[in-house]
Amino acid sequence: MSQINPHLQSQSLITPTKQLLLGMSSLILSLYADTAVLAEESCSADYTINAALPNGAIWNLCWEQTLQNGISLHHIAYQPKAGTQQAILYRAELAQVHVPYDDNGARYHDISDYGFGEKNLQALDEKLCPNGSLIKYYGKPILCQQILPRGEELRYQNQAVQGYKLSLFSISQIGSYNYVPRWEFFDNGTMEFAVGATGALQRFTTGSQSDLGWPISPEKIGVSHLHNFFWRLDFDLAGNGANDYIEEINFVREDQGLKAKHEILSLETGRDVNPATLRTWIVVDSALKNQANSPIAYEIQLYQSGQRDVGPEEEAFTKYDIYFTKAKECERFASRNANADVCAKDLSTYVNGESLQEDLIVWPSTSFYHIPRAEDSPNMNIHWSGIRLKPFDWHNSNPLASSIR
Amino acid sequence: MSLFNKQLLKFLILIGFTSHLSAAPNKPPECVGIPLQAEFASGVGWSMCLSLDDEEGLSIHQLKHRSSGQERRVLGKASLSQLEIVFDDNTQPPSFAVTRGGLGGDKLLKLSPKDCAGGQLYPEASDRRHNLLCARTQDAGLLYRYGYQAQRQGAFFEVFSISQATASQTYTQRWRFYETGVIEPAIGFSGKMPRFAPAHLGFGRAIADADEWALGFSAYLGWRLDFDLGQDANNDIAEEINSRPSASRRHKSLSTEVLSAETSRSLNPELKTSWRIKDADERNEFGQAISYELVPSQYHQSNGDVRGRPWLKYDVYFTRYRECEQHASDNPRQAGCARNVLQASQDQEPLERTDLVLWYKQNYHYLPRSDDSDYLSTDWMSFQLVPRDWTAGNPL
Repeated sequence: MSQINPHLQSQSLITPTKQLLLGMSSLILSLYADTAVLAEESCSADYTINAALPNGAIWNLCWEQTLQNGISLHHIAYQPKAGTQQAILYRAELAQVHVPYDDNGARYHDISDYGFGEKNLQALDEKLCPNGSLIKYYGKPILCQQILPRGEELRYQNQAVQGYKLSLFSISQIGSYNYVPRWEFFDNGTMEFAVGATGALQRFTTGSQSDLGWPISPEKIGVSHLHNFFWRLDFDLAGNGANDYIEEINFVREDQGLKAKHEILSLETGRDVNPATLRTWIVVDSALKNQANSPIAYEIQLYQSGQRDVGPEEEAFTKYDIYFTKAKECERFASRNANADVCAKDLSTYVNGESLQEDLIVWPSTSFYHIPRAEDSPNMNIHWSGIRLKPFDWHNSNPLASSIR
Repeated sequence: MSLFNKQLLKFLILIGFTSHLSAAPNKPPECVGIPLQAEFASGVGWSMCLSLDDEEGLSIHQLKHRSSGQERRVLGKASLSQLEIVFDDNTQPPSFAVTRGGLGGDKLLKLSPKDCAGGQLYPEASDRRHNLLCARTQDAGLLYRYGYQAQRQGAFFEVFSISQATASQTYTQRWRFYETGVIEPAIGFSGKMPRFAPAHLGFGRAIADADEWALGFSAYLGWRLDFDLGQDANNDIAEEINSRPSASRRHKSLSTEVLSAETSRSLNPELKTSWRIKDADERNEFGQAISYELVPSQYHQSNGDVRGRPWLKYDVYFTRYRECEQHASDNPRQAGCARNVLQASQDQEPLERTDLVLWYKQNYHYLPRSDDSDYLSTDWMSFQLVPRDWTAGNPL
């Protein structure tokens, strides 16, 4: 817990809240009332972001700064246009950036070994944050908050609604790399979490080892490498994580067509995408249902899964695209976990057959294989790697349809 | 306008279009359609001609990228060449939205200034009554940052048109041309929930309190990318790039393979497969061949072929340019021409130093949900073409 920001006033909030809510899961109205003040209760004004988007949706969340994760978000709640505020995530953070090089000359674990916070967190300026506002931490502007257009939310004949999003990003310098963790919240409830990689190439070799990389100039070969990004997402749908569960959906051929097969993942596990079964996952609330009598849920989309890296045996945490584990305070990072003497060391050992029936954590990942190119020198254009969380029967209908002009 | 006049106009457009296409492959043509130029503050720019074809809708012609004071052609012609929709109950044959329905003509929605904030609207070149195309430059956010020494914001130029393909299905065709040289074609899926089926059949999902379930669907996209790098359109080379791990998985070794004959290939995520088209003769100032790389996307849904359609078997196809091979599937019957892109790639004609076409297949599966009732939140399917050694160093 040493890495938790002391400014987070009520870290202990979860326990009483969760216990209180456990017995109340059928009392929907109470749940709504309870979550309406969630972010305000959980952090002071300096650490609260409350953003009303032009179409009427509101996102409410807290942030904190820690040495290792950099910026973490917590108590993330969403209020659809003309709807009621509902908690989604108790906590969301970048939980590792693992960077193995093709020559095995370096295998960095940037979050746990160097840290995205404190001195590595870069001071931002207005040029980096056009039409936005800079949020300060002890006087240093470290977080850019913007409300940005995101193109058409919906379109049917001449009916259309332009969408908007809340965007938050910080920049952390690790070696020659500048990483840009970005958190985006759409006015339709979608969340996109991504990390931009920019800066300069870190490692080079010479002509005789051309299969280790790509020539970026006549004298230099940039060594190819991977960026394996992992997020730690503690879902507490409707403010209560104890009644959430994970469902995997696969499509199989049946009756000459494609039918969805839903399977509840009841034990800790690692899973992979499967292009042949159009596999996807949803995190579901077992108490609240929408008007179609479907439980409210969020879909986890791994839309950038075309580059996979399964590392050597000592990096068993790279084996799966996504992991689901029982929530444990001391399981913080995807690899090189802090306090490895008392806690498990990485994702491969967090998964040890425990039940997901209580509070659960989702660990999505994505890999970017960077073969350098001449364009990467001297400054490297940013490359984004991300995941998407999409409402799944969260609303009764498209919440922005009433904005049709 | 009377129906007769409308048909006549279509016919005339067709003549204009056909006469261009029947020219020798890639003889430097006059601009087809609307000429557009984009220049960023950095001096980097794009130039292109855009046409709105009856079948493909938005097509990009003679796309050129200018950086470091030099303008070079990237694409001769590129567009979505097929879009097949198959609903999850699979009771109807695929719709061929490009070759049978058409995404152009009267399917194109008239755009108003509200649809194109900060941009400019254009009518079709041959029928100037309605604005059908939006072009605008937008901020792309951070372009690069390296400590306190260097930082820069980026931008892209985008063009889009919107087709109301059926009573319920609306598709936006959008191409983004980044200041960085990256090209990003995209399709936006929107409209209204297209089909329902009785709940007892078990296809689709309940999205409202009703006896009918909304049906999911697969959209199979066939992109046709006629690369014509540099001056000479007939000297391009295709390469596959793979990265193989050692036995211990601690090292990786990069290999490139020249694709010497027409072929079909699939992405292997473990090998990080990608493909590039390079010019046989033109080089950057470091002496490297200029090239563009296809970075595939949407792998997680890439193999959901419920009907066993032949052209969906592979992710990419490389063929030699042929005038009569314009569509990834349902290509018109004609002696000596393939009916689909799998067939087109099977005669294994030599590919090295030719005018080659890269075909990229994507699969998007739509999973219905209440949140899309009754208007679908737009889902975007995109991929990127990224310059590799196009310039000696980052021109920005």
